[in-house]
Amino acid sequence: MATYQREVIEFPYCEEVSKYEKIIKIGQGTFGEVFKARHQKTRKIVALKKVLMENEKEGFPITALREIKILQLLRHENVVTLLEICRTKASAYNRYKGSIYLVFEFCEHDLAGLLSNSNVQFSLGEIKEALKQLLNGLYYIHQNKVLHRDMKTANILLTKDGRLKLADFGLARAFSFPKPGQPNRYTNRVVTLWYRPPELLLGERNYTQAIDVWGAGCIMAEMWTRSPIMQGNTEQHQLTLITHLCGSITPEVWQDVDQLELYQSLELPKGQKRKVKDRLKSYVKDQYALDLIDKLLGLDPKTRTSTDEALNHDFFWEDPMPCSLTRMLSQHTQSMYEYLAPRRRIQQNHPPSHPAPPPPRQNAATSKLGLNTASFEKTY
Amino acid sequence: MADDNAEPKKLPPKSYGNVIISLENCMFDKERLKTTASKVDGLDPETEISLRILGCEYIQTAGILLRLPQASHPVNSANVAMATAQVLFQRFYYSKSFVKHNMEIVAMACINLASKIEEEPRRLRDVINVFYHIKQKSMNKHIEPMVLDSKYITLKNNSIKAERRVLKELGFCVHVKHPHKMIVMYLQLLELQSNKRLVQTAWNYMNDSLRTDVFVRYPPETIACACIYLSARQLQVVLPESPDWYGLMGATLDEMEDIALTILRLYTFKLKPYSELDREVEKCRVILQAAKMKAKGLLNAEGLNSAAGTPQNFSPHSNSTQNSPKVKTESPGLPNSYKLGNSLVKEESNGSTAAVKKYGLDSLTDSRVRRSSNSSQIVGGLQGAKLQCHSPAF
Ligand SMILES: Nc1ncnc2c1ncn2[C@@H]1O[C@H](COP(=O)(O)OP(=O)(O)OP(=O)(O)O)[C@@H](O)[C@H]1O
Ligand SMILES: [Mg+2]
Repeated sequence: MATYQREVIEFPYCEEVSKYEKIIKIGQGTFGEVFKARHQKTRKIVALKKVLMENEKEGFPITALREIKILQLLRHENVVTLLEICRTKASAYNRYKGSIYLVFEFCEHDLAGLLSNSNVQFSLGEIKEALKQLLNGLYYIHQNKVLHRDMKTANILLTKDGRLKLADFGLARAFSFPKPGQPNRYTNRVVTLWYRPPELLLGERNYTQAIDVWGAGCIMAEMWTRSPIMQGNTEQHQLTLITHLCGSITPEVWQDVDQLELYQSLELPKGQKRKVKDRLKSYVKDQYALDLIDKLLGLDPKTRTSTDEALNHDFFWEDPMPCSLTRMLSQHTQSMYEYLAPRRRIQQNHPPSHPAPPPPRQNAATSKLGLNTASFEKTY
Repeated sequence: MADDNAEPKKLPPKSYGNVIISLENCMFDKERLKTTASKVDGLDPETEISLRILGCEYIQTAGILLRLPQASHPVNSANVAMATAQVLFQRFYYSKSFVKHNMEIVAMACINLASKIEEEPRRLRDVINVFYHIKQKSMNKHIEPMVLDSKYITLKNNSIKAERRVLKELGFCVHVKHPHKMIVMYLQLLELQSNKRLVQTAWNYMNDSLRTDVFVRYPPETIACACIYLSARQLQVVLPESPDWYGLMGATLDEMEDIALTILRLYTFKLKPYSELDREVEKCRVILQAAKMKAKGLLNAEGLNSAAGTPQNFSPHSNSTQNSPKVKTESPGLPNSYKLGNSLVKEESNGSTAAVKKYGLDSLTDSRVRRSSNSSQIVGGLQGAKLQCHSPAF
């Protein structure tokens, strides 16, 4: 008769999440809730992101699988680190469906939270440092053939010692360079509307790293404007706003744009001049900065600047040089997150046509943190 | 990630205390492989091997029916999703036993999971239907669409739970590096890529190797070398001796021979029909259950004041199926009568071709999945051919 023993090979990787105690909820997205938590024994602080499984008819969500794989692949100081994956025990409480948590290194702030607080002031050198780290992170993930596909300030994290980290790879995926005659057909239902590049709005499915570069351009401008520069309500509206800033979209400035699926069916304002520098110069006084934003917001993805070129731009090499964010951030002992920031973002953050709008947030915390309440409804 | 170009940069696995996050294939050493969870539960090794082979065969067949990418030719798209599913299936059963985890449910879960991992998602409903189809076909029944009744719902829920268990058990290290591309690349380096027969044979051996344990024992580079080595031997193609090409890929002759022999053993292995295998599993399950209850009973007897604490369904004499009334005799998965002949892998080295013939699925597959099959010849030749390791055979 067989003797009853414990399993022979135990994979140690998937421990129970109960070794961490939750401290406070710091984020809520389409994918799940995010908590600040502490390891019971080591007292180490982490961020726990719960994988939402409730409405999964097809088992474990493919988006979560992608995020996990990509995070396992990426190791970089400007990419958020996945520490481990934990689970809850299946029990009668959860109808024998335990949940899965991604455990991340903890970051004190996200950029959306910082920018919405007027007490937080970035010097030009500090902006340069933040952007340099952002582009370094993007350069690294693109080198590894990963597209982020959801660039926005809420997905950029900062640690208190001045390290910027790309986060939220929930929409990210690996890409391949298209083979001749075999264009890629990725979904174009990605990127939050306000940060979505014109090629996606026009129905391009064979897109490239340039989609993330556009987002970086929007975020760069936002470092000065402090709120998203193009807050469209619909895809059509977003394209109109882009045209008003970057000029009319025509085959002259963008070769073969007329081949895109929606080029004929969407209304594209004619005769608009490019006014990126003009319209931003009241916020952005630095000429190099204006020039770099202009290049990051290039209409044609084929000629839009790359992360590599951007990092070589004079902006990063002229005085004042990039300088550490540590000192500025050390003045703010309270964590700042989009989720905890009051007002404007509450409704507008997920404008129509976000791939899968999250439920409305009823319980965004009020301005305990002494946040600025003046709103930047529209930049223009 | 199914795209061929997305070969990530090699990064060292990071370790956080006891947590290891890595994209390298998980491997076990030989000692560890000797004691599988199924063995601990009393299953005999022959039955376990049969279940592994059969499970992989189901996965392969289901993959064809689900039209997951199959390779018509190595240079084209890779047979990645089904290969991944088979590797996950094998890995899982090194930590969990066939006695406690129904083979078919786990196979379904692995297909579901692997199709998502390789960016070729299929609906779970289709996966379940395809399994149902394979089963009916194997019983020579008239094919009828599956009824979406409560049994179906249970099956679906069980397969979702099994998917989670696979993920948990493998610690989310579910990404598999396959030798497909490596075979092609190495043959190019050897300037043998124009020998289509060699390429195809190596490719077929690679697909068949998924049914063995080589993927949990060797890195994909070594498996790729072994498949080339075996094919070259079979087709009497001369490979360069110096420099030793396989050494450049990190393989040794001993390793290649071990893999080659493991693959060859597959073709002489006497596969039992599933009904028989399931009976074996059931037997172990009953014994295990009884032992568990006995242990509980003893515990109660010693700890508490015995009689009241003894489970009612504890039967002190229950060492056999008949005496143990509470133990379910039906497996939670598909019905037990899933029959299979045992000559399958003997006839063909190419799993999917065999499956197509066996289940009469030709009409369901498009031309992409049919391969030029030189396999029966290969097997015929190899059964006799002993590998003489160190002789200058080429
Ligand atoms: N490691 C972390 N440290 C601190 N805060 C974090 C961390 N990860 C996430 N957060 C906070 O939680 C918020 C939501 O997390 P994340 O963006 O990863 O998921 P999501 O919002 O659910 O995804 P999506 O943006 O697609 O809806 C972030 O905006 C950030 O404020
Ligand atoms: Mg987010």
